[in-house]
Amino acid sequence: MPDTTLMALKAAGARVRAEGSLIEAGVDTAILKRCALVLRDAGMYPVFMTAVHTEAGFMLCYQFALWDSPCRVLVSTPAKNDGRAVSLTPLFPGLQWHEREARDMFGIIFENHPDLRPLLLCDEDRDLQPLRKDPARLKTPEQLTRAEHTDPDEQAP
Amino acid sequence: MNGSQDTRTFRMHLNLGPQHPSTHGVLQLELEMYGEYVLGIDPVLGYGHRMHEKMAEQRPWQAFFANTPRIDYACGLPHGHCYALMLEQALQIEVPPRALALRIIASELNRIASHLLWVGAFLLDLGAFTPILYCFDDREQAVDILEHMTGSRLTHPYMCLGGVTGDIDEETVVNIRAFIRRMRSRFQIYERLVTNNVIFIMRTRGVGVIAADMARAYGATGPVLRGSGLSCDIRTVAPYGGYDGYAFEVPTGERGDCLDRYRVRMEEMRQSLNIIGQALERLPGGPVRAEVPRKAAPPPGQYSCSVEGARGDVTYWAVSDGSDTPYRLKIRSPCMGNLSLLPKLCRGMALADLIATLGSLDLVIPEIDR
Repeated sequence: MPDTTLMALKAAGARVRAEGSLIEAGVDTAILKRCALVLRDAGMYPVFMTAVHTEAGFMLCYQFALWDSPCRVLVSTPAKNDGRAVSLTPLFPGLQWHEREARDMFGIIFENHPDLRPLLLCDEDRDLQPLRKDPARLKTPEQLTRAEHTDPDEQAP
Repeated sequence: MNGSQDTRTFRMHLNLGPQHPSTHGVLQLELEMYGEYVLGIDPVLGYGHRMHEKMAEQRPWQAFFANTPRIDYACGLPHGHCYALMLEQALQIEVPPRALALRIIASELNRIASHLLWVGAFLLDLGAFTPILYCFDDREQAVDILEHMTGSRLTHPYMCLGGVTGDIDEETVVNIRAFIRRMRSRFQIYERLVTNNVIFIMRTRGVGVIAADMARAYGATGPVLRGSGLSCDIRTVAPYGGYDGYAFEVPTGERGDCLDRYRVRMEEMRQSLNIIGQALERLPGGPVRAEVPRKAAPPPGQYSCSVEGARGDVTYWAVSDGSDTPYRLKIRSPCMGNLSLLPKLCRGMALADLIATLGSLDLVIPEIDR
């Protein structure tokens, strides 16, 4: 990844930690779009979008990659308190179905998403939210973060 | 097909494709038609949904290897390869060189088998019945070898933590060499039968053109992206599991139409044969599996690994809480990105072209549904 992109990510306010070709970027909800714009301008394609259910709520995780060099960016951002999130579909149309899937599996509502009908589940199961965890099995974001990692990319919303 | 029709405006609602879960492929499209032309489509997914990601959260890390080939029934070995590499990276396990080579041989054989299945099914979609008979004849040879190597004909349980489940014997090496020789001669038949067939060319040239920018924005990968001219292959861009030791080319298309995607896949089979040939040439000796802990428990953190499947970027991403079961496992299936661009692509397309385009994307729907 060009250093300019990494600088732009940092300038946008992301907490960046690079390990080889894998870059982990923790961002706040307010700057998610700005960071996504930086990645889009760098020519990255969306790999996936998903969420992790923790004690502190939902953590949204995105992965972007460059098609011509070994670089992957893992962006993680907390969902808002009411389980809503900003949709990145306007920037990356490829994330539309991934966000629909996250709505199916976790019940996260994406604002400004063009079409949030169930993708994989049937209409009757639209509120099943199968990937939400049993409250007894929930872990805190700190328990899911690497020990030597002082700047946790998972932050309580 | 059935549908309702408004005879004054020629607008129709048309259901295309099977609805019953036992039919293969199972992609149902709800089409909005204007006469013969498509106004919009709505793919109906989920018939093959098995919730593999939830299954992963409820069993030990190692037990999920049994699931990996079942996610993509046509090319499951790269899924196992990806999961194994991710776990080995998390647990810092060194894989013996012979196991690395065997993994590559098995993955490439699987890729060839998958592409052969695609060529046959694609041409069947276009109305050519004969090629699938040739393709299955060839695919049978690859599947026989894989059966001998892995013990199974379809969902190969071959990849495991620290290596592969079994070694190959001299007989298998001879069989693989014979397969390479046979396949190389078979390409001439395909050239004569299909590639230079004027009807085939007219059905595919200039049809379903995907611009490189569009493919990228939708996260399309694999032969779809390469057909649009971007030489994106994870085996060369970010080599994994020993692929950096092999010399092969990454074929790309120019226009991004169905014909380009066909050509890319045909050439990819030749390149896969080259890779297998090189791997056999210098197949190292030694064990096929490293010493691994009985209970795998990666330290807390997130882990990601990507490999090039037959359809594109297969990515596994896991969050560990330090216990012996994954806290969260995300499986990225390439077909989802490849199919998600179809609703935009197909607007204004004739119905027959939609079938060709759909076929050229090489979709395995249960892989999208997971």
